Amino acid sequence: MVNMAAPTVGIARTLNYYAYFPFWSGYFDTLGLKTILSPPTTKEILDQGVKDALAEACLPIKLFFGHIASLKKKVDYLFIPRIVNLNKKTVYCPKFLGLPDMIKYSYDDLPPIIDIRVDNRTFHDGLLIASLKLATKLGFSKLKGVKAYQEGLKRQQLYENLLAKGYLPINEVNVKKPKHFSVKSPFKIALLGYPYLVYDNYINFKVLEFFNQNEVQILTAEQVPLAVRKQYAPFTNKKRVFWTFSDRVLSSFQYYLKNVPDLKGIIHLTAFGCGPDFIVDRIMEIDAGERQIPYLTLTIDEHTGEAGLLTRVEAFLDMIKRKTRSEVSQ
Amino acid sequence: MKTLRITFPYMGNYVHAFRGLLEDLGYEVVMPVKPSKRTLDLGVKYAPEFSCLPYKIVLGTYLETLPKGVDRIVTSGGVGPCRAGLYASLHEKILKKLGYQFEMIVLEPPLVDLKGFYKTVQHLNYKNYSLWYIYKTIKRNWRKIKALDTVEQKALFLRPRELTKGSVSARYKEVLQYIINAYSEKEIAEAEYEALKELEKVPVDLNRLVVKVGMVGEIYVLLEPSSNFEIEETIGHLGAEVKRSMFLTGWTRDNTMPGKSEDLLSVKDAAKPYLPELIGGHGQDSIGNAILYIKQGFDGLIQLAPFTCIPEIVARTILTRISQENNFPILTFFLDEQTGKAGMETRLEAFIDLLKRKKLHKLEKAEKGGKLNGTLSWN
Repeated sequence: MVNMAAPTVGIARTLNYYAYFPFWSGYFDTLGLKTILSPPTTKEILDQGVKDALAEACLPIKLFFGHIASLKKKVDYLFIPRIVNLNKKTVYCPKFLGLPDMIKYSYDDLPPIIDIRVDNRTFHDGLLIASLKLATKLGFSKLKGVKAYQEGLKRQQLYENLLAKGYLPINEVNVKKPKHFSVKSPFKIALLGYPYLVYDNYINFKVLEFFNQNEVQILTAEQVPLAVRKQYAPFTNKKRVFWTFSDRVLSSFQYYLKNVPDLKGIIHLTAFGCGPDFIVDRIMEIDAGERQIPYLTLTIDEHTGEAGLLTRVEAFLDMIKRKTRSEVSQ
Repeated sequence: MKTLRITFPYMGNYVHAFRGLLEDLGYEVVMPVKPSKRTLDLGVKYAPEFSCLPYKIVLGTYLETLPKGVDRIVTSGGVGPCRAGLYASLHEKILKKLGYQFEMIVLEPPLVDLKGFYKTVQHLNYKNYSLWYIYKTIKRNWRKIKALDTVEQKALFLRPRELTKGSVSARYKEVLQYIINAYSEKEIAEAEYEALKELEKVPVDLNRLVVKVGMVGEIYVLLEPSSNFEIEETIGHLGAEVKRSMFLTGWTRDNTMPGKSEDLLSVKDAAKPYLPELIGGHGQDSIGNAILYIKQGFDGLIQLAPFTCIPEIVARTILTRISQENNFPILTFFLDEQTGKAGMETRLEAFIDLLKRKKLHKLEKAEKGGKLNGTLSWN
């Protein structure tokens, strides 16, 4: 029986959503709490975020503000965990680390925020401990917390397996009924960028569907499993980039560059004002150039128009086709 | 053995201490030129569009010095999550792609990897001087940095109180040379003493009421005047005393904090209620210092940040609330290559004006009927 009094937990459909929602849905489902997602991004959500966030903030922060604004009146709790580290190696971009604070001090009419800290490098903030702490705080037993944690891990693993198979979570992360797969095609393009841009169909102007219609197979960063990516040092052999999602983009980039012989091109999808991305972008541009793989940077901001963006993608594909034809005819 | 030629990024007056240190290690130092419009233009041309102002200025500096013939560049690293920790690697990649040949030496923080730090230092020490010798030269140049900081702080204090506008800056420029030219610790101490004495001779009005403005933000735009259009001088000339939250020596902070237990709060502790997480760069410091300035009765705060600097964006978002809750005016500048000096000055004028009105109002209320002590300078 559904407990009508069970509190609802609001989760924004952006940033961490496309990476870790299966874990949290498994966790809250097991506890019997209802998770409520903000709707897929719309113009209204983006406009609201642009209004509420600092003008100098990057597009993803503005987007996050918009999603929170659309959720805050509908839920009992807002779930904005402070995810610092999950893989024991890299941390998240500073905006993720200050996310609950930014929201807390920007809105007056907020429900309580669950800002639990997760840092797998330390024992007291590890994911398991954080899950237990949260469960007891919400009035559940530790045993229930462990069960919720296990269910979360199970779903997360399922999700990552789906990603490795070529599943693209367009606007929605659903491990039970996965819907979106990229077409299989010899024409392969790596579309690299952070999951909250690559899989948010409003923000990227349905570029994934555009590729499907054009029989282009898309390779994304999430399709290379962590165990494989780990072997690819993304920087000048001296240092890894510090941030988890950037590390994911760069190491999958290296993997695709070296392991997909028929890779036709690379597109870097980035957001205006993204701090880490100027580093990521220039490294990929130089390295792709050395291997003579066509490379395109697509920068999205709140003023980007659909026609402008898709035209550039079309021109890029045309250029590759011409290049391939002239190589064949030689 | 061939004498190697070395250079480093430009950063305020400290370049003179860096120079001394590297010369003592047996290098021929190729001095970086003070960043100019040309430096920035060069940086903007070859840097990624969304890189921040410090990244562009430092790249421009390298592009200006490398054609003079450089074997090594030495710079600082960092372990994140601020981007600056990766700058050296990306600078190297871009410069080598442009065809320059040099070795990039990155000093990572010793606390994280002491062995690695020692190895880098030994590599820098290519003439194999003894550890004792290196210790002495570091100690000597650290003393120089302290002297530079002390004299700069004196200038910050005197500038809003000077009788003739510009007299402190002019004198400061002269006395700085005493310290730059000093070599031994004894000489540096004497130079510092002389410099302070000379600065104090500039005619000032110590009874003048000046507003006190704290300054927080990202380290490079705080410490390198050419990146912030000499904002401290501008503020001083507007009749406000600047307290910068960051000097290369943390020493200054210890000397400016009153001994009351309430005020002994560390920057980190002060920031905690608002931002419990270290977010890289100096985001948490900006929050913490803002709280400390409020506690110390400052009149306002200026935050300096490069455009797209995430730690400072997070800080700014929270500072807005701190400003409201404490009725404490805060002005933020996000700096990039489009920022103009005139626009900045206009905003500063309005801001300082507001602080002065507020302070005058407060004083009038406090001394209702009584006589106001001192006069407020409107310049």
